[in-house]
Amino acid sequence: MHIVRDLLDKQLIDVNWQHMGRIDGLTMDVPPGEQPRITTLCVGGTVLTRRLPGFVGRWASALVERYGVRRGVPFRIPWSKVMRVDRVIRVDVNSDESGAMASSHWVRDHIIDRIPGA
Amino acid sequence: MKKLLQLTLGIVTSIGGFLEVGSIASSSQAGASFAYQLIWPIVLGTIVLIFLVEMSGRLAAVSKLTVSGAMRDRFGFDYFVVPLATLSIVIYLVLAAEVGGAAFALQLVTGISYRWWAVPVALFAWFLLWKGPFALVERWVPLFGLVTLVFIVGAVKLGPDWSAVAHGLVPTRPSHDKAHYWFLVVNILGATIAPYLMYFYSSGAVEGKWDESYLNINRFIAVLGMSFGGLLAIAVLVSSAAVFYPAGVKLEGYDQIALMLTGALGSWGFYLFAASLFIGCLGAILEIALAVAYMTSQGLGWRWGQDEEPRQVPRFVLVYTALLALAPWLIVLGISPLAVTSLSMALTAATLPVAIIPFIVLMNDPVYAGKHTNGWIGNVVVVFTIVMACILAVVTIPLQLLGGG
Repeated sequence: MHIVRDLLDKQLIDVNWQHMGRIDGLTMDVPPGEQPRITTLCVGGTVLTRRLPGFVGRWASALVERYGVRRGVPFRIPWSKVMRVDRVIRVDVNSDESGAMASSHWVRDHIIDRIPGA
Repeated sequence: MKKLLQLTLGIVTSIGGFLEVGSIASSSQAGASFAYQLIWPIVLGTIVLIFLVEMSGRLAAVSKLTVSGAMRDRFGFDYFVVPLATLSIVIYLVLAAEVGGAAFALQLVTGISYRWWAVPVALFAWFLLWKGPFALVERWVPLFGLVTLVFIVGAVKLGPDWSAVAHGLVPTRPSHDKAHYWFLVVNILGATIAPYLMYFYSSGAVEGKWDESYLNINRFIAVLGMSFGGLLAIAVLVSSAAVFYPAGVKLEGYDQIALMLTGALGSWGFYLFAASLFIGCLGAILEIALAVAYMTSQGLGWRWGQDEEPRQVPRFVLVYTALLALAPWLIVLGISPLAVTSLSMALTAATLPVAIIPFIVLMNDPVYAGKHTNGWIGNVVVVFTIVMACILAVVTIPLQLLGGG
């Protein structure tokens, strides 16, 4: 498997077939003398904003750390939860009951629900 | 039959390309200043748009991915953020121009200044998106959009010099005002080949659950839908040329453009022009607000869909809500809608390369296009468009300064 081509930036689908973000970054474990292993997939937070170049990246990261619903902490999915790697990546996570949808839920509860007629 | 109904998706996309305020403004300015000489950029824009729209639909039907989704997949966040950022900045001006156009149409009918109409127009557009399913945009906009056929009736009734019209199909050098001529060429192309059309169309195809059985109908929709719009844009130019060019009128505002059809159709011409301007701009407002919401959501992996309840897709709804909340204020402040339009079209042309370059890669990659990768004709057109887009991007700002207004 090719990490950048097959994993990074791909759509994540949760156990209920709902979109739950994209793979914005990965963490790896590189034990000496062994093959490197992917340990977690990261969604959102500063993992995404740090990929922006130069001061834009630093500035955007500072913003999500300060004002983000999760204070810039990315949502992490252990590699063992990955069910299928295809054009989209399906994982054994219920996104609505985990922290993955925190900002989506925040927008729903604080903005959408307050619009008359919602 | 169900597939044939998807033609309306092509028509609504086409309205956003050819009958929104930018195209109406640039076509009528071109007619007034250069008679029939500038028909060729409309034809060129139509051909390019047919190819790009067809590719967007083919990508969606084969990969089930939208253009924006595929861009993030294939090129990564580092690239995706460039078209996203440039579109977001430029689109604010384009949206303001469309709100200004719709507001001006209401001023023509009611006599109440466009500045008072900007907020109601944005609110009305938002309400349609908030309440309506995708079918509302996809079916009703084209139905009301048929009123724009009045431009063809007007153009024919004005009895233009048809051999001069035919000559306009071939590019010729300007005899006067070179800078203004090329400025209008760039404006027409910028108003026609707008990246948001591709994001909107491919999202509509995914919302309509297209698969490979739609490939033929997709080709048909692209050709017919875009030709419909192109023909109407030519009709606007021809009417304007027949009315304003002989009189030597220099168009400075929408109130002058509105008189284009009164000679041929009397006071009906005036009201039908206002109705056409309103529905064209409203269609474009809906299309643009959705296109940006689609692009952001798909690129960041959020839940999206105009057929979902707003509570199910909160961040998608937030994007179009925020856009429409910001859109009317330039117009409320009283900035001339025509000036905003002209600037926004030039800037659209400047952002074209980053939006078009991904097509050449995506449409030749079997991972995305499957067995239906581009043939050589398609690739020649995309490469030609990229080269043209790069030239447009370089010349658009200098031409705006030299030839605008």
